[in-house]
Amino acid sequence: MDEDILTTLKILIIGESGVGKSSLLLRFTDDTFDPELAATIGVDFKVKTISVDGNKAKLAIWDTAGQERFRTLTPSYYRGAQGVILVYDVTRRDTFVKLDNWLNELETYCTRNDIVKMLVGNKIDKENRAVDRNEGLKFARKHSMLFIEASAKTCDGVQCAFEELVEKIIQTPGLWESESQNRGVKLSNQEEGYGGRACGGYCSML
Amino acid sequence: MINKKYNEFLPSMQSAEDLVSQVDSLSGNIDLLKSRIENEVQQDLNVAIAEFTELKQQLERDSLVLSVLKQLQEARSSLKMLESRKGFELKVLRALGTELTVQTQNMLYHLGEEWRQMVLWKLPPSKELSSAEMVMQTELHLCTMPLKEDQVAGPPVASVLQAFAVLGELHTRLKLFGQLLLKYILKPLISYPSLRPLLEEQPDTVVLHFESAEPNLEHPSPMEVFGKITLVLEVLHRHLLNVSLDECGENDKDSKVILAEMLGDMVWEEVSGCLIQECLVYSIPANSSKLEQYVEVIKSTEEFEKSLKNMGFVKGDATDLLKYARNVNSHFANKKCQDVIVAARKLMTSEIHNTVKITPDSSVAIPKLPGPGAGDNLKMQNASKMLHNELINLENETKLSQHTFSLPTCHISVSVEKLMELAYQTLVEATTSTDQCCIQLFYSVRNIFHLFYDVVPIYHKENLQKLPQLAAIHHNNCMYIAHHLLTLGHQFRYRLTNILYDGAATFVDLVPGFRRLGMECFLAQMRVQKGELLERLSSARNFSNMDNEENYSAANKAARQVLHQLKRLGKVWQDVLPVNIYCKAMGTLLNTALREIINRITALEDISAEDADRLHSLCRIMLEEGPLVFTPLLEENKNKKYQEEVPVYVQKWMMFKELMIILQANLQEIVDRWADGKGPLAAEFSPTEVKSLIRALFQNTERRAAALAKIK
Repeated sequence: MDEDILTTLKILIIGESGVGKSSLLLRFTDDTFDPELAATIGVDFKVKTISVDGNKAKLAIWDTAGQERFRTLTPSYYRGAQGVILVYDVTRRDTFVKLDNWLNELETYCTRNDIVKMLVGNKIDKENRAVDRNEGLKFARKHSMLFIEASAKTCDGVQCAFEELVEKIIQTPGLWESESQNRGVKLSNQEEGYGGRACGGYCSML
Repeated sequence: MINKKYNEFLPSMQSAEDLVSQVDSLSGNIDLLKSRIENEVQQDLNVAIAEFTELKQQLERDSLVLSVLKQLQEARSSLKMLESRKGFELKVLRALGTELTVQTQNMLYHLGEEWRQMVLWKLPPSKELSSAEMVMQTELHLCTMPLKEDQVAGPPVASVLQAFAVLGELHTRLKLFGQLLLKYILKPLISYPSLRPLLEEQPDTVVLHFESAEPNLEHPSPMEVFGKITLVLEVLHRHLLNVSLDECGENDKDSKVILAEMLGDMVWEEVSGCLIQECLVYSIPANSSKLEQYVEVIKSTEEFEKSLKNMGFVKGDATDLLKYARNVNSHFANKKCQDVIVAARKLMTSEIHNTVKITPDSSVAIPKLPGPGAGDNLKMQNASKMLHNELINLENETKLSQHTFSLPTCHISVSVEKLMELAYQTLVEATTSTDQCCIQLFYSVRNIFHLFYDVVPIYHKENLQKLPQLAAIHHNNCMYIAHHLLTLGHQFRYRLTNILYDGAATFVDLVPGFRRLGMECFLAQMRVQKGELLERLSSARNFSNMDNEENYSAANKAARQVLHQLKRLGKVWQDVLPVNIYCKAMGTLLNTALREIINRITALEDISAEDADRLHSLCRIMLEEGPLVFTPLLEENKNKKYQEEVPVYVQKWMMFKELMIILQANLQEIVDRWADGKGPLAAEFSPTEVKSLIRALFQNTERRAAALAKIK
């Protein structure tokens, strides 16, 4: 069943409360959309196998609660994450402004430096846009992040966001291989990883 | 011839005549001498004779006395000889001795009778003087003696007293009198402000008794009491102790001096002690503003002692009262401190469960403190305020809440709030006191807190162990006190005396102790509750063989009991504990229960499908109803928030949820949640635990082997 799977990747979805993290996940894993989705309490978890460039990867996706009050739980979720999806609401500027805090938190808690980051501007189906696409792009570039605008409701960009992220992770040697291989090799791999990231981070998106 | 003859004759005659005249004068002289001898010598002789006779008589008398003495000496020596020969007594001597005793006793009896007539006591029937009414029955009749020596109406007081003195009885008599005087007159006068001494002069007696006035105050003013006592002692002095001087000369004068002084020696120590204890102590003002008026008391005390000295009751060097009164500042401080400590102790021993809700907006009614310097500082303050206003614009837009450093909303004991008010008031009082007093008051306040630290945990020990709500309130009380102690010293820093100025006036050192005190008490209660929870779960038969109805119902009951206990705790701590502490405490306890259940279930070696279903439904009860015990607030609708946050407070919440998922999942689902060690199952359980669970839940198949191989 799982025999042809290359690797299992831990993906984290973070961002302010109500930006649509759970909706993105649900759209991605179950292809459903619930406009009345309740706020996530603590954390949610989904598994999905995805095929990128002929490589099958199993995604262990952690959907965190955006609300401040559950923040104390999150640090443990960051452990071992290889990819992170940072979500904001294009109709709510405050969710965009708060991205700095999220990056800060990510920096603080994630256990590896080469974690791949994807910035998603959600809810582009809505008309009252408050954050321009270029702004998002600029911010992503500044912080070496992949960037995409999406709508969980209309399905726009959702699949793409995950695929891009996974592709990038797989392209980053050492990020996923290291675990199955012995630790001795890791050092050289990591060095390569740094090198790759320097230009790879967002170049591929541009 | 004739002529011749005549001529011859004439000269002889003339010489004869001369001779005659010479003889005449000579005889005159002789007569004079004779008469002088008769007159003067005779008289001297008489005197000498009389003198001689007298001397002779004296000699006779002396020789008589001497002989008597000699005889006495002989008698004495022979008596001694007799005495030395034991067993041999002279009957006469014994008789004489007996007679002497009898006569002495007789004398004493009569004197006693006389004394009793002169000094007549009417005492209340009961020995215990419990009320002013009882004392009212006391009367003292004194026989008034005419001051002149009319010895008709019986022996005068002086003679009786003199007789007592001779017989060596005076001291005992006077002592007895002094004791009665103390017990029935002086002490009641000091203790019962309503009593007034009343003097009734009758023809030959003076009656001293009491009248009752309106009991106006609890404690009389010293002036009043001094007046009353002076009145009584004056009466005694006039009618009993002041025996007139010119009656018997020196001896009496001596005895008089001794009398008043003797009585004084006997009673004064106790009277002065009583005066201080019962009267002066209460006259010490309770706050410093009245301290200045105390000069009057000092003055009246001085006068009182002076008048007593004039009467001879008190020796010149005894100034106990005045010393006490003059030392008013130190007494004031002592009293104040004692009052403070007594009040504090009363508060500490009062019920904990009378509570008051403390919110960040409520603060102790701190009396308005005067500015460190008055007057012209106002301008400066205004200036700084303006400056402040300008500065505001420069401040960061995101400000801290005004309650950032406030104590969170919770319930504390009313008594503790009052205790804190007492501390503040005492410190305010200290700011307006003299240096010495200020220091004493400051340390009294510190002592209040030391006292709380020592008294409360012991005094309320049983209740604090038994009642979780009281433990919570005590916890809050300690935190509340610690919270105030943080700033208490600083608030008064510049207002206390210079001696305390240099950093000595602080309470911060007490803060950790108080926090620990509150924490320890609450943690002890937590341990008790934890023990109970585990006790209840221990009756769940390890959650094994749930397909057995009996086992299932035991486990079900245990789970229900746990929830019930938590619910009850959630109720008694509701609104009492600060919300964060409440959630932490409830979360810890729920966590204890969940962890115990997890441990029991993961330890199972075989879980049938039915077992798994039943365990799952048991767990679901905990999962669904566990959060409902989180009711930190009175308003039910506001508690939902905290019930949602249960995963934050219950460390094992996620693990418990994972366990539930495993109980109902197939192998693939378990492997998915493990997700190569990247899923939530892996976050909560170790590979060994998961493998053990898989082995317990699933039969040994190839699929199981494949799944087990993935868990690493």
